[in-house]
Amino acid sequence: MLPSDQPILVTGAGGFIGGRVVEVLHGLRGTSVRASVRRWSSAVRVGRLPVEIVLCDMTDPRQVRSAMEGIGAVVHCAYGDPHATVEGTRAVLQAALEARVDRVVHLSTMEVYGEVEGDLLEDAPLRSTGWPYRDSKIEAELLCRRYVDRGLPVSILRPTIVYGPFSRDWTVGFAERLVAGGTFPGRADCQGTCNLLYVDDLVAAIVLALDRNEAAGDAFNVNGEERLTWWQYLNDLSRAIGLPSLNGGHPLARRVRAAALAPVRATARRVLARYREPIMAVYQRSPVAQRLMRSVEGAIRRTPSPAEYRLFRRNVFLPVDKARGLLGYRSQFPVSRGLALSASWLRHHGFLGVPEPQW
Amino acid sequence: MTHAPPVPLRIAVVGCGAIARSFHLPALASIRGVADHLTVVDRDPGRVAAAEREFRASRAATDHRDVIHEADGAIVAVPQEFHAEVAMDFLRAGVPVLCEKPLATTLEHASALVAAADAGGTVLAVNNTRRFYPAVRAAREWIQSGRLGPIRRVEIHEGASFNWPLAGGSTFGRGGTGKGVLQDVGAHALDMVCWWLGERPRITRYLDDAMGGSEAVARVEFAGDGYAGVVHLSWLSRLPNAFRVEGQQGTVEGGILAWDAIRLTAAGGRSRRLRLRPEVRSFPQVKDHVIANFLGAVRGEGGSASPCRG
Repeated sequence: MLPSDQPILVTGAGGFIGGRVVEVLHGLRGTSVRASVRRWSSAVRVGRLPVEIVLCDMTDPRQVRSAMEGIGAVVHCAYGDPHATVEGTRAVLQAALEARVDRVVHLSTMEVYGEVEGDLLEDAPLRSTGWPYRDSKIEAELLCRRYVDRGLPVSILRPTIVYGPFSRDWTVGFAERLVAGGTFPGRADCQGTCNLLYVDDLVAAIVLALDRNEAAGDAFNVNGEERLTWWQYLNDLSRAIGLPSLNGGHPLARRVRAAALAPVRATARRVLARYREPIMAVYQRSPVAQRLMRSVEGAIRRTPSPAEYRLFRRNVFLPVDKARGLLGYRSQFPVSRGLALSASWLRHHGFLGVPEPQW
Repeated sequence: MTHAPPVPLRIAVVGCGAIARSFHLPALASIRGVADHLTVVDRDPGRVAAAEREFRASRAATDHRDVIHEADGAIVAVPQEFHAEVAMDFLRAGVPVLCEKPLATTLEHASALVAAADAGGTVLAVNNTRRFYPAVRAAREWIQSGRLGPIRRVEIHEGASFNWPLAGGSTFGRGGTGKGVLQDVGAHALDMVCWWLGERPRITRYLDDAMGGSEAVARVEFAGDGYAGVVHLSWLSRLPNAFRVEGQQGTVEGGILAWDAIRLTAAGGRSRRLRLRPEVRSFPQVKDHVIANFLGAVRGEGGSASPCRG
């Protein structure tokens, strides 16, 4: 169904996944794309292409309706704080229903299954845990189901740990921490399964969800097909960017350090959220404040958080049999290939260090 | 540093987007004799009304042509593709202009503006703010003093994510200007090169990553008599945010935003960090210097520090 003369709306096009969706739809498939962004400054990446770009506050149903005009299908990648995630999804679904679009592909997350372990198939229950991101993504999925009942062909994708070029969390962030000599939990604390999904595999799944009639009204896990531990991922990444393997011993000291820094982390986040402007003013004027703030920021960035410990220990895996069977999904990017591509992108973009300016 | 001017000046600010609200208007609104005669202009009635309230402007308009004959000086801060048109209207009426960078988006338009300013003997300045950055100024002094010897190599590398709060999206994508990082950061970096060297080198090679839209990464290679150089800019990747000018007898290096020091290295040896004691101590102070400089030029108290040429 995809070859339609109506453009595809990609929400969240300023983000890591949305940006790649736009590039692939436009560049590889020649599909006409309308990219919606929250602010113009995030349009830099997709703005290199001759695609239509619109500014849209997803929580404003009027703006979303206007972004939906003349659209054939939607890939909904945008999310934000819990309110924006839920209300943005509601606005997209309602506008899509009114515009009678052929398909909505909703980007959900593996997190909707909650903090459980084991192999999770698509019919596993969705479990909220009080974590705002997870709970709002669950609420967004429930909205999708309601609109499926009203006849809207929504396809829900639940991607796992999506990495690759422009991935702030799993590629840039980890690489910078490795380069800076930051610590990670020890080997024993990294034995959970890392459900690694290369971004282009996800985008291929999104295209299948747009294409295949079987996708409508259903939810699909999207994951890579290798089971590896977080410890393997961190070490493979480290070697891919030309650094040695991690030192796996003495996890206790690291646990203590992570626990000690947890309140600093939380306080810093709260203070910065509340007093960003005066803090930046002081930062600009005082070299002493600059050094102090950089050192706190550096310590936070180099030290694993308690949430990271929980993630790295979790034994959970999302099989993709359903997507294989119904959509014909196959992972084309084994970890070795995805990491090689990520490493060359990191190097090219200067994230592995730029020559220190001398002055 | 902001003395009350001897006679009140009527300044019109055309375009009330991010740069006007964060830079020009706050600076103008803090100067006696200027603050009470401020005119704001924007095509968007909501935006102009907001600026009028916030900066207590005495006049607001949605068309700059309505205020040309009531202005002693104009600041052009509309989207860059309209710079030439708006600036020309003021210059033709003999009104001095401080234009946001870049002066125009084509060489023809820029040349026409310079010709119009020359013909009328009217001040035309471009807001190349970096001419007020201490390290950039210090580098120029070293280069122009001849103490580095004949210049061999000039390099500027700037890369940081783009976070300017653009009010309009004319820069990007289909139907956009097709002008990205080169006209944004590049307008500053290329001005630094020309200002330092006192001449315009010839372009030997140009590369960018635009694929039918606006470039996010650009590389300009250039050369002149006995020297070559590169300006490398990116909105997507990390670059050192630094400059380096190598002469036969010595090299000067600095950070674009390093206010207080540059590094000097003599050919074949000793390197030292030179601490600067600048008048401008932080970015927020730049605007006061730029505006004071333009007002001085409007009053005929000497030339602008950032005229559109030489």
